Amino acid sequence: MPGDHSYLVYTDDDDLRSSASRFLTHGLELGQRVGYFAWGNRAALRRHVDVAGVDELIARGAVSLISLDDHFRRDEVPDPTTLVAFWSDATTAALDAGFSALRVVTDTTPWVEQERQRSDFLHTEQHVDRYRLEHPFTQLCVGNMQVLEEQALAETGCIHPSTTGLALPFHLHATTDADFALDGEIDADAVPLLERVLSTAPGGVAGRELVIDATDLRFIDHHGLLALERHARRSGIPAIVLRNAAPVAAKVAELLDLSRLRVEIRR
Amino acid sequence: MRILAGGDGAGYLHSAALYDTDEELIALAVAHLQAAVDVGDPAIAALPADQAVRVRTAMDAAASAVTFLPDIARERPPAVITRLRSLLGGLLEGGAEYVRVVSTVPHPGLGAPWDGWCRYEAAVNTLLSDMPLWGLCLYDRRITPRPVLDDVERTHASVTRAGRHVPNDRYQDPSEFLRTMPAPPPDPLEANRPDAEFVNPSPADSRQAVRALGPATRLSSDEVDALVMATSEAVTNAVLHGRPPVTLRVWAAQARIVVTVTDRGPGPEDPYAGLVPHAKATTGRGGYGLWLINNLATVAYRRDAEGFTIQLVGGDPLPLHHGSTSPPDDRG
Repeated sequence: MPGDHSYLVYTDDDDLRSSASRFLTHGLELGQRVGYFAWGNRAALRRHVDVAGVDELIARGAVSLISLDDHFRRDEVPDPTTLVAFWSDATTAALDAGFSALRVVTDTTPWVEQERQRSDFLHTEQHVDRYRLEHPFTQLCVGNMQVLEEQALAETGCIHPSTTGLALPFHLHATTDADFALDGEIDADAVPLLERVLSTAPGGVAGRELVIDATDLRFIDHHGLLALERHARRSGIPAIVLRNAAPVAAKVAELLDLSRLRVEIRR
Repeated sequence: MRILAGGDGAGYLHSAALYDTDEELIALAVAHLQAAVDVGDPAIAALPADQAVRVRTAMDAAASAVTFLPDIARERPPAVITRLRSLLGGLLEGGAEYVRVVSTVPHPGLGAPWDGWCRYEAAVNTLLSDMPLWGLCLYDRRITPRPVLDDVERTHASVTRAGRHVPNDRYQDPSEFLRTMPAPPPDPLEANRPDAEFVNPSPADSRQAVRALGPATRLSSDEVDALVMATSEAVTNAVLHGRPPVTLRVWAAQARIVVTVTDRGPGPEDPYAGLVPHAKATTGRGGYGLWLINNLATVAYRRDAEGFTIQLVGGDPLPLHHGSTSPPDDRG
């Protein structure tokens, strides 16, 4: 069963504790192994997990508290292979121990604070998003609003299928029947964000069409369509296919006479 | 022998023929098309279905040499310009030297608002000026409002009088005409309190305002989506190119939704704005907005003390023209 992937913006420790604990408790009810993966020592991590009977749950392996400092550097984002292997190993261990899935909270704040490092993270995390689609791995990524600027929160949030505590114009995420799914609304205001995340997106393989499912894309104007066309050109993609789009998007694309964007309407 | 109306025939001749009887209409159309067929030139007819049937019948076998296009009343003015240029380009590439077109242009007598088609009639003089083309526009004097006929005379370089095409001394420079043409009256719905009104809305606010009113109307979801798109583009344009504050107003009736977007600026300087993409569109960075709006909605421009207003109508717009008296608001 595929997992979920979402992003939560927290305002303070209390906010983080209650949101994370609620998320983890739900996993325990489902028979999943749950984990809290964040930065700092174990005592600091323990303070953020307010789950009934947590010490006993930790003892029998249902809850794990893992310091990311033990595995990664804060100033260096792991490459996609490394991070996907990390989550894959943890998921396999959970399944081997008899749990139905792995469910984790992960604080990604240090990795997305700086713009250049964030580019690496956006790329790597989109591989993780693809991984969770094909494995029983559910992840709630969290970001500290007091540390991260609005741009960092928006860029990080919009590559997750859903966000809490942050209003975003769109999400670009992995899906089963296409390279990506795009949901929400894209107008001129949203185009810089779209271009930024597209520039970090995996799947832009030169010579191959890139398929984007637009079933839940409520609106895209000509600025958005032109951004997709530009992305195809820059990335050497012969065509981007916007599948299941609204008829009006197809009409606008037809008027623009775009050569690298094909808009297929929803039936 | 090819007989050219406009001298050397190198460019576009835009003619109007006014008629008083159905027989006169058919005679004018057939004569224009037959002249092309006789010398092997492409002949194109863009007529309402009933007129097309009568022309086909009258031309008999020669009608097979005529390309009959759908009635342009089903399209919007910039789409017709795009299609004409594309069609003519293909014909010229294929070796054609001169093309004749006969068309019936929508106007209030035929149930269409005039502002957009009036701008079309003026603008094609410039936008098709490089085409070796003789376009004959047919107007039924019995049903065409007087102010529309007045515009027709000022936007066609030649007119037909007593069966003869003669130069028209009332013809006006198209840019000048477009800059000074009067605005149509407001839709009668605009006399009411708007169903939605925003000052300095975001494009997202404007989309939501139009979407929310859709279910209260008979507009199809495609019609609402087209108006949502046009509204979003209009607000984006007003924010990017106009002067604040930007005001969005929306009125809904059963058969139409009227949107106005007003800013304090003077509006686009280019008299052809909206009929073709802006020159900067070739850079791939904008320049399409107003043109797309005109492709997606029935559009009128107004300039007054409040600033520049673009009016968009989705669904069935009222057949208004400048000088017309708006019918009372029937909310129909």
